Amino acid sequence: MKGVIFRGLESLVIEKCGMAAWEALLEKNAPDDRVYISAQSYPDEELFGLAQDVAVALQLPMTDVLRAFGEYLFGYLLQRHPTIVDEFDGFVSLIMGIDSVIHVEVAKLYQEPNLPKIRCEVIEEGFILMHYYSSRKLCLCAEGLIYGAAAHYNMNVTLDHVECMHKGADECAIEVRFIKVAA
Amino acid sequence: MSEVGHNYEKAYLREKAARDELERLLEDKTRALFNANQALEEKIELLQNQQAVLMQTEKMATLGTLSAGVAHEINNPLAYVTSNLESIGYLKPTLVSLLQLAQKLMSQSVPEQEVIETITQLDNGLSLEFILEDLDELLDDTHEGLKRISAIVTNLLSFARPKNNLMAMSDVTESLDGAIKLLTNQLKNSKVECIKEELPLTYCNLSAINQVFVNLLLNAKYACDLMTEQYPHLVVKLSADPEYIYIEIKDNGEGMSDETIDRIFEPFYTTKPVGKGTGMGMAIVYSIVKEHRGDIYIESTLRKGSLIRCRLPIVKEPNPNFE
Repeated sequence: MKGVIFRGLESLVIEKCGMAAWEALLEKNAPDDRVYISAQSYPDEELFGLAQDVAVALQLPMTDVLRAFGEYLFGYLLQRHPTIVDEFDGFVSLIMGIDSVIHVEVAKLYQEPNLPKIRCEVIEEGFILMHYYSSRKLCLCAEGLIYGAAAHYNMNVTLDHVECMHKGADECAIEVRFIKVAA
Repeated sequence: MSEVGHNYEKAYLREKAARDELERLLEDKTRALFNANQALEEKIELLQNQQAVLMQTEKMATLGTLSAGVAHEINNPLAYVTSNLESIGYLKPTLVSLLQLAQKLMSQSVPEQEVIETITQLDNGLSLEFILEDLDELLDDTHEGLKRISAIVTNLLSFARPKNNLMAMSDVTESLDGAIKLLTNQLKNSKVECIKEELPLTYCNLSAINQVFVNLLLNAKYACDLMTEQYPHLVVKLSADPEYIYIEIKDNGEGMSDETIDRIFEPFYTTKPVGKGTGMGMAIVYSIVKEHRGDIYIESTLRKGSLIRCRLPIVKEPNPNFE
């Protein structure tokens, strides 16, 4: 997993729980003197270990932690790469452009070979069906990222994870229903 | 929080801001590098396409040079094939009559006396013995002439067709043989000595190597033509060691100046009069040799002649970098 994701988690933990909590997490789950650098790759197990311990510390289910992390991560990445998000004129174009725009940019910057595969289809106005596949099975994090994007574009969003790799499906199917928040 | 703790947090935040800034710089540079690399790749592709077009243009120009000779080469066999067919046409009535007589004889509808009379009559017109002697020769020569025309056309097509990426395990000798046949007319007033060792097969583009031979031989011939006081003598040598195939073309022509040797592989550089050469021949030879990961060397002495030596590595299996 690329360091930029670890840096997002670092930022979230320090913001919500403080530096001591992050240091304790690092101590337990990462080698000594670990400093995460965005462009560098680190073992996936480190991220899962850190996320697991965040869940324990916050007394929340892992699913909630991943979702919350995804939502936070969207804001974190937006702050770092505003120009990428500027390419989209709204929530729908961003969701539809995850593979063709965002992942292309990610590949440019980080040479990440294991990006998730995402296919989206607009079923009707206010309804997108997203297909998600990743060997890391971080679909809940993807859900969080959708929540983050919806918040950015002022959308009320409801997600229905109708098929899930964690339940034996070949890929996840997430129904994304959304409506603009009234001003 | 204690003052020490507060200071540590401030230090961390400063370090984090520095890390963010450095990463931003790195990402900007990475993006710029990626974009520049992409632009370069597009330019390389464009250049490769243009090079392919140039190679084809040069081939066509060479074909122009060859056309008169090729026409002559085709015309010779064509003349005697036509003449032979006319002769066969002249024999035809006698042959037809003989066949008709044979048919009648088989159906027993003709008396023996009439058969003898008809045959004697035919023999008096055109000697049957003459027909028997001549027919085989006429047909053999006609067949030979048509085979020559077919070989010339095949060589011409093989030279003219763009087959830039046809890499296969091949014998380089075939390219030389094809080139020599194609240039039969151009080289007819020259002594061409071919010393061909048995070569191992190598992964190469025969059509492109054929172009190398054609261009080098035409250049050698041109250099010899400038030396009117002696008979042109070209020596083509093919040899190999375990690693390389060597192609050598030596002439006793005018030779090259140091300036010409230095610039010979430059596109559009030519010593020929305006309108006589495109200046692309040796540039294309160079590019083909380099595509085969080979080298090319030149030795030349003014008014003595030149030796062009190409060294091609023997490749036993497809090399993805070749295509």
